[in-house]
Amino acid sequence: MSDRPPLAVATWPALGTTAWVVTAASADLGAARAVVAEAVDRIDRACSRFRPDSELGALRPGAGAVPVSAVLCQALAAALRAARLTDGLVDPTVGTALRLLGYDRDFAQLADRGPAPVLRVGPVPGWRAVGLDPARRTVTLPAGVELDLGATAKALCADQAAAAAHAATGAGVLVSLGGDIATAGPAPPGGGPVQVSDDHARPRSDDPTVVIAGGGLATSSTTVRRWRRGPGEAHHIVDPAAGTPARGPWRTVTVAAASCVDANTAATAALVLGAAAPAWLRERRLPARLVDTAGQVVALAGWPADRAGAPEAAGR
Amino acid sequence: MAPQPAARDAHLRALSRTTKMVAVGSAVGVVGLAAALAQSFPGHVATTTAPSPSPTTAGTTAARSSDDGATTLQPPALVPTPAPASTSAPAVSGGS
Repeated sequence: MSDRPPLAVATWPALGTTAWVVTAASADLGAARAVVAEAVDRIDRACSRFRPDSELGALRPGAGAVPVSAVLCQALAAALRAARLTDGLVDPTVGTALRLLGYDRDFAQLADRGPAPVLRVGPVPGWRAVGLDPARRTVTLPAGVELDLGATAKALCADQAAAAAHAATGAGVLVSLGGDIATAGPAPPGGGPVQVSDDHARPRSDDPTVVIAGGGLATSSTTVRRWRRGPGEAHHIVDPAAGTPARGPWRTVTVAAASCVDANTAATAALVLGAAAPAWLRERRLPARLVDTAGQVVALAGWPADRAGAPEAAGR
Repeated sequence: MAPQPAARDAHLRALSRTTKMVAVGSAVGVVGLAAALAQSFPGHVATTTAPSPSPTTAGTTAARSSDDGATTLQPPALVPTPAPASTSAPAVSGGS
């Protein structure tokens, strides 16, 4: 029986998924939740690919240098940084590929089945096609380049929301946006427990729980956001080199990093990278848990082995 | 009439270097590289022109704008530890 004091938790639907705010004291929860909700709304209005009133949706490729808000400018910078630090494994110019695969509306409204798609098979335009001038706060998109900031924008929002909630309350705060987790301020006694699962909305009783004392934690998985088109099935993790869903040996990758956006970037990159991911993560000293398509677990760079006796990382 | 092997190979190499529009009944997620598709669906592959970034302007700007000084993703100060048995987790990290 755990003797840790209960944590205060608020959850609500956000960004097509679920937002959590966790504080050690219930007295801090209301203020923290309000700050996080405001940050979530800001990022959604700036970066949604599907909201008709979003700033990203209004960007016109080929229109020259377009002024953008500070929120979108930061999200674009985070996406380009992720692309640079992964040599393009995580690339924001996968928007067209996702649309052609059928992911052209909020996932909740996406039909599970549809006709066979018309695919563009080949590299996406690439992050170097995006011209961002943070001093003038303008972005230039060549004709035909569509952006998807989904992964990094959500993680960036978690980092910023946690920091803002901590600043507003003085309390330690854990923020989770669809399983992208950021912390700020002092950790609760004994650390912040987080369960790790294929699907943040459907954890299984045997999914492991770890404790984090700071930084960020993120999971990317090909088991969620899947849909059928024609005889095939697609998912939302696109390999920028091929313009098609990533087809590596891993179904789910969880990474701990100094920030949520770095953790998310690494987890997504690992799914795209495939068999070379363990070495890539070790080289960067990023603790990670990888689950292959058969359910075998690899824990590396200090990530604790699953209690149920998951195979260790040795030799992989 | 089937193309000569050398000509076909050259064609497939060219295909694999360019972006393709592919309209086939093949399975999404099963499709591979364009060359493989061209072999499997020779009547359904057509080349198109990929969006053309301007490497002399956009790329340079992008590289500079995202240069926050980081040269690699940053590891955590402390690695995650196993939770004590029966710990109830208020949050779940999973795919979304």
